[in-house]
Amino acid sequence: MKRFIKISAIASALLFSASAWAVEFGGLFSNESKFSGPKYNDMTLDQSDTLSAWVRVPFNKTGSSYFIAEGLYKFEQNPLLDDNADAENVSAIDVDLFKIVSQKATENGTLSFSAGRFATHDLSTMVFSQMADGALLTYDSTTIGFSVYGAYTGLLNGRTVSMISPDGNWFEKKDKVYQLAEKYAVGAAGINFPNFAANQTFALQVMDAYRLEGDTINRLYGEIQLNGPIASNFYYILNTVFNYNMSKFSDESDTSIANLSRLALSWYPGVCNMAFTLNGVYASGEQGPFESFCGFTSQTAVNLSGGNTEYSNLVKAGLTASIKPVSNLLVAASGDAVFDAVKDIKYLGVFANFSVVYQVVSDVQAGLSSYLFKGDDSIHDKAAVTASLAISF
Amino acid sequence: MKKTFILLALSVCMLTAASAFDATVVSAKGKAEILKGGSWSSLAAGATVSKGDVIQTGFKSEVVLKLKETTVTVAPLTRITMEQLAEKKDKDDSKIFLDTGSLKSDIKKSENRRVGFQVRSPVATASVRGTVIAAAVTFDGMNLDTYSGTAAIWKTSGETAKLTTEEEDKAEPPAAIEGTSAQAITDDGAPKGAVTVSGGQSAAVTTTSATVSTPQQKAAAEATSLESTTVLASATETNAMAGTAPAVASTISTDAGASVVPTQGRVVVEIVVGD
Repeated sequence: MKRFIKISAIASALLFSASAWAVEFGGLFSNESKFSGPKYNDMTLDQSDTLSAWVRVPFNKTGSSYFIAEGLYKFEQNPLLDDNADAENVSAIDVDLFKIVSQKATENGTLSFSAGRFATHDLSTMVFSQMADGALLTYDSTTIGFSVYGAYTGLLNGRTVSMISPDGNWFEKKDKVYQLAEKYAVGAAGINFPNFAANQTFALQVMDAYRLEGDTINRLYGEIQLNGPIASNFYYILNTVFNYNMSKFSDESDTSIANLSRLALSWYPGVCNMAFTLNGVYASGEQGPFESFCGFTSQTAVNLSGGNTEYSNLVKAGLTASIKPVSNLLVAASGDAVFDAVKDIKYLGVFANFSVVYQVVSDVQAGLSSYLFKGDDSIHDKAAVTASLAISF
Repeated sequence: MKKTFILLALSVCMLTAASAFDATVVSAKGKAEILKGGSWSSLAAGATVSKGDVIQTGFKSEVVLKLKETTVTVAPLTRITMEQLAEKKDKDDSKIFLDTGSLKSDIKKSENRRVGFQVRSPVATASVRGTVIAAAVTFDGMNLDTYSGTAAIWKTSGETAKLTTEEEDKAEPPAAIEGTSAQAITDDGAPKGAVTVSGGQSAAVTTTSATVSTPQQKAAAEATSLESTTVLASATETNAMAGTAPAVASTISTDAGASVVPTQGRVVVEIVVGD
């Protein structure tokens, strides 16, 4: 025991001695209070508080190689202000960042390697957008870039990360502060050509998510992306993702093909950092050769009660506008028409969102947002008002 | 023989003198100094600035220079080196190395002459030809804003001030290339992968970025981010796989850590090039 303590002390001293003068650390406290319900005068309150602390240790003078880690404690209380429901208190602890990074400048570009627990996302950001335990190797130059990624999700805290279960057996959250998440092996490889012609960027990526326990489920994604300027202040992003699902339940095998596509047209007038974006998203249902699209990370496509809010069986089109009237104030609003696309495309309703983010000082941020979904029928109606506060130290 | 030799020497001198021109100090406010001939001295209105001279300004100081028809305003706490002031056959070429600080230029062509204007920094080079732009050099990189026309910017690294040689100053400029490609703007001097920045667009280079942040990336970042430290480290350390497009405003939320761009101060160079 004494020997172990001695070795640990020496190792820690060696780790920090070379860069002890440059170790950075800090923390963040945030509170989010959310009133939500089918309409504004019928809401319940959900509250969450998060306390996090991080440390960063550079390994060289330039800081191109470093270690960084962050841990957090989250406390949730929901619902309140509802006499018919008992308040549920939920606590979770997590290590949401724990990685080493090494960057090396080559003659024409930069090689970067990250290993540990960190967040990343796929090209579209709508399929995989979460943390996992793994490694990422990227190379970026002015003419070509590539990336290779491999990760495992079984050590994550299932209370803080949500992954879609294609067989409908959603992860059951139990009353634990740290509950191991579902086990998936995720791998991805991509290549991109920045500014290959007229400042256009073309990128390709393949990603595979293989479930390691339970029934066999393998989700393969092939992605293509084009983005660049159309005219002076007009830009576009075009993504399409083809999803090939292979599953085996008992002795029955099943395969399906699906598609997720997005087109965003943005205009930046150059006044007060204004931005206007026309968005269109299609997530396939049973149309033509396609079946329901199934992403990996659970993400909210539209906030509505009941129903499926993932990027699946859905068409969404609308406009987002944002402005920064002063440098520390960001105001944004959006409106989308939402269509159900399980089989036929049917109008579902309108989703409107408004948010204000105010940076009081560099380490205090306050936010207020509200959204409303007004459906063609009232079953899916939902409204919410959220106030948030974040203080860093 | 003696007369012939003198005439020949005078001709050589004239040819040599014709390849360089001097800039003139229009005004100097506060603490402004020039390094000329190896020694520092105060800079005053009316003084000349030649190739190789270094100018630096102190706190609350400013220098305005005139390079032919071009006006260069050197802001406070700035150091620049005049790398080239060359008058070629039908083109005036100027190169300024911006070591630190900010610089604003209003670049105009002389009648019947082309103009080449380049700003170099330790991490990037911006080149313009008959355009209206604003180039912003930060403490760890360079921003380029254009108001009209087109400029080109590309990443370099570890650059320091480097005066052009006599041969380079005397060399005949290449024929003008039509179009708005990086090669056309720089007379084929831009490397592959240089980014063109058209009117109303901005681009940026930092010491840590592998490539130039394109106008689309810069516009998206400026529209959707606030300068703050109120964000989870895991959010700022999110690794993007190669080729990921810039975020768009549709994902703005008020969740803690929605946006952050921690900054540590800013040094700005603006170069405005007029037709």
